[in-house]
Amino acid sequence: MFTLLATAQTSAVDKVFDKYSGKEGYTTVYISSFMFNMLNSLESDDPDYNEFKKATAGIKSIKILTQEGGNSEAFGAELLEMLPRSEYQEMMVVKDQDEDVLFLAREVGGKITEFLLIVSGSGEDVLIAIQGDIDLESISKIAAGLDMPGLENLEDIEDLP
Amino acid sequence: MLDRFYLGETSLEEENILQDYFSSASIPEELLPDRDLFRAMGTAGDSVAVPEGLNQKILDVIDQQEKKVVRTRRISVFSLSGLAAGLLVVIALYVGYFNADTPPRFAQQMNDTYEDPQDAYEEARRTLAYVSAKLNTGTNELEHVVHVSKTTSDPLKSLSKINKGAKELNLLGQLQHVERIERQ
Repeated sequence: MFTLLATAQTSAVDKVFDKYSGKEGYTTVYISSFMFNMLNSLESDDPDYNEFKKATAGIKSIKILTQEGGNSEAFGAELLEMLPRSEYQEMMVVKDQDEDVLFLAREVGGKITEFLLIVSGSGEDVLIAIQGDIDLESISKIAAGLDMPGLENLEDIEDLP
Repeated sequence: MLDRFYLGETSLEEENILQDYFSSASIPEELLPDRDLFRAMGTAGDSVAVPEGLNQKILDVIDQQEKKVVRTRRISVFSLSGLAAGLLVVIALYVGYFNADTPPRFAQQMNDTYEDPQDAYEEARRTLAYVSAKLNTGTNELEHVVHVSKTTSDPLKSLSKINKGAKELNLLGQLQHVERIERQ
């Protein structure tokens, strides 16, 4: 009971979710550490699943906040305000015609403890927050299992000198 | 003489005589009630010898009683205050738990969206794949940015590491891409 009272910091991202979950026009998805622990304890022969397990070994939770239609700019501005650069380092911004993707990371002791994606544009805004001990390398390999630019070239490998 | 006694006409001497008479053993039956009466009167008249030190004895008994009362009262006060203190601590903790902005509270507010682990797995995987894809798109472009490799910041170092994986597969794509450009 005393550990509950230890002043554990609620992170800024949690406050965003606190504020917006349940609000009209917003959808939240929450996958808890309880769920991840369960998934990580399951044995499987499926290589995809094992890859998933490796990537999510340190992940405590995934939270997704989606804003449908409506005030994209205000939401974006609010997020910027609630997620100060002092805590969340801007890692990368990828812009293409349909949307902007902003990557933010919060580091503690050389490890990434929170990894955020903010996608804005194309009618809906999404905030994805991955919390825990994050292994970006393993996570990036997950996409290798799906559509990845260049993957199709594997087929042509035999044709190259 | 008895009749005169009841009429209140006897002298003290005569009353004494009656007393002595009734104190003696053999009294006719019809006079027994009278004897009881004289006996009662007799004892009433005498002053009862007070045992010596009765006063002190009574005071002692009172003191003892008082001590008992005081003793029990002191014990109950201590145990009561201890109990109250303990109760206060419990209440404080309880209130503190509800007021503190703690993650467990957050977790209470936000419940797992999926009950079925299978659903959670699918959503988690889908999300991570999306994140990953976006990351890779970005890092692919970063290849062209020279300063990335020079960065000392750890997060960006991770990014360039990610890129290695993407790099191999992409090399093939780029070769073809370059070919296409040259043809144009």
